[in-house]
Amino acid sequence: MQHGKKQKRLFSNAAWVAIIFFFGSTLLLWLFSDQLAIMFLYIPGQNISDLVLFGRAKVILVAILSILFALVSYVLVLKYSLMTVHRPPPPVIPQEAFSDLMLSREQFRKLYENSPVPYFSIDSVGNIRNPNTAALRFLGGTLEECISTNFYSLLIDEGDSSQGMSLLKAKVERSVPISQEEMRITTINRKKDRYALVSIYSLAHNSSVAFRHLVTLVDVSKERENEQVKTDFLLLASHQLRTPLTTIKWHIDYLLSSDSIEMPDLVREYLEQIYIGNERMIELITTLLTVSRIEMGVLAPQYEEVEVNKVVQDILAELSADIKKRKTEVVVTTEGDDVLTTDYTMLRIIIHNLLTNAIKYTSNGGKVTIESMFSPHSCTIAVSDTGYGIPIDEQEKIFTKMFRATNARKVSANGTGLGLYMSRAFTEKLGGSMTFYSEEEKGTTFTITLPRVAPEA
Amino acid sequence: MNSQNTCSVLIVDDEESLVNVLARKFEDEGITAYTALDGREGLNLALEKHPDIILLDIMMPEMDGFDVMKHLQEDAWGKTVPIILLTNSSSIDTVAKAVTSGMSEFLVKTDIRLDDVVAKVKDRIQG
Repeated sequence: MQHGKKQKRLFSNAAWVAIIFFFGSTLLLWLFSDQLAIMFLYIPGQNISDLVLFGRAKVILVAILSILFALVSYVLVLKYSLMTVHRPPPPVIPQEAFSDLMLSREQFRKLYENSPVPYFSIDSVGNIRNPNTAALRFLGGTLEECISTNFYSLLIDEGDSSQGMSLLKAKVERSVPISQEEMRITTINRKKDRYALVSIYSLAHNSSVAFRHLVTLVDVSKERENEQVKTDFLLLASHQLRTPLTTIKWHIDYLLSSDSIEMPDLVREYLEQIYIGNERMIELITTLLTVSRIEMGVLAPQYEEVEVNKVVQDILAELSADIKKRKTEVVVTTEGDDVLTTDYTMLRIIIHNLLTNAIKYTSNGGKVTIESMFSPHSCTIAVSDTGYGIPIDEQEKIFTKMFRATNARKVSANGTGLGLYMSRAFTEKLGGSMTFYSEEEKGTTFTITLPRVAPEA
Repeated sequence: MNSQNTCSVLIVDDEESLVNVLARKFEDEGITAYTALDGREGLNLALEKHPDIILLDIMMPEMDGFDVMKHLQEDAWGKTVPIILLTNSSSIDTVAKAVTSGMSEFLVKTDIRLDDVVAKVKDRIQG
């Protein structure tokens, strides 16, 4: 009701303004019509008396213009008044919402301050502000020391230094987010280095806040230390376990190979048996250490160009005595350029395991085929045999650690059940895959597919 | 070749029994074998005797194989002497470190027979 009255008053006000405007403009136009006509319509050389308006014409023209002005003023006044009336009132934050806001702020502050994750802000050149307690602890300084330190000066580049650092600075300056990049950071007193996953997120690029890059650190120093301990352990285990075996190996080797030493046949035979047993022990330890490396995640491929056929031929030469003894027919076929960028040692172990199994688990006079196909982006190596095959109900366990198929156990008591597990782990480490197809008493085909180039880190 | 005009080899390894059997094998083959049981002793002996080739273990007390290599690089003769690394650590990291440090041959002790070690040494001296 009140709103209707208000609107009526607006209309009448606008009408009054229009009326005043009408009379005002009529008076002014009447008095100055001649001057206006001369001002706007005069063409040089024209007689001025021709432009002076007289009688009815003047009345009509003045009336039309005045009505026009009045109408325009009416519309404008009305529009402005209505806009003012309909403008929403400034928001009033209710007391309850204000309290909620303050509570949220307080909660955020507490979380920020007491979070175990180090947080702080930096400006575009790396100066530190607002470090939380965890950040002070991580950086090893007081608040004053922290805010007078440049974050970039604490970063230690481990690789090609200057490039990495300038890239980081450029990213921060352009507000490109940095997510969990592992960096080595020294403390403010430069006494201790730590490793952290660093994330930097920036407020909008055009934000007027100077310290607009928010930094979070996740301390991974312990994980790095553990990794080093694992590597050291493996290195030590590898060395310490093999040394006594080498002593046995070389001493028996000396006794057996020296022409100057004479010994009864029985002693020679037993020494040969000890030598073979020792060799099996060496092989087992090597395999177990390799499996430990896989499981501890400390096995990193060393990429180089490898000729697959050369690897295959080397292995076949190594296994030639066994191939001859079993009268196994071996067929090697290749399609395409056989060079690929991969880890030589791992590839050799994979093919060696597959070939050894194919020969071992194929009856005498059987056939083993090695087919390599090279496309522009990948390489496929298939090792097939006409052997005993894998029982269908055991096939799903074939890549399980320490698993040996029941028919394989009958054929040979020796075997660790680690060869296929290790081969598949290596294949996957090299960015490839391993599959197989097997039918009992017909044979098995293992197929590995590897990329031609090293996968991106 | 050394002054007596016979081939000589220096074996540096902290495992005494291995050093002994390897030295005996070389002597059987007519190659003079000098032995050292740690890196520092090995370095001193190398600089004194100037053997034709060095068989060097990596993990040793006092001074490891890589440190011996580093010190040999500072000597005019040491820069040229062939070195074969003999180790039981077949980890890929160690191999990579050996290759990058200029070690031309890398043999894993458990993988090689005595005859093969002798053959490698003869190859390197004559080659």
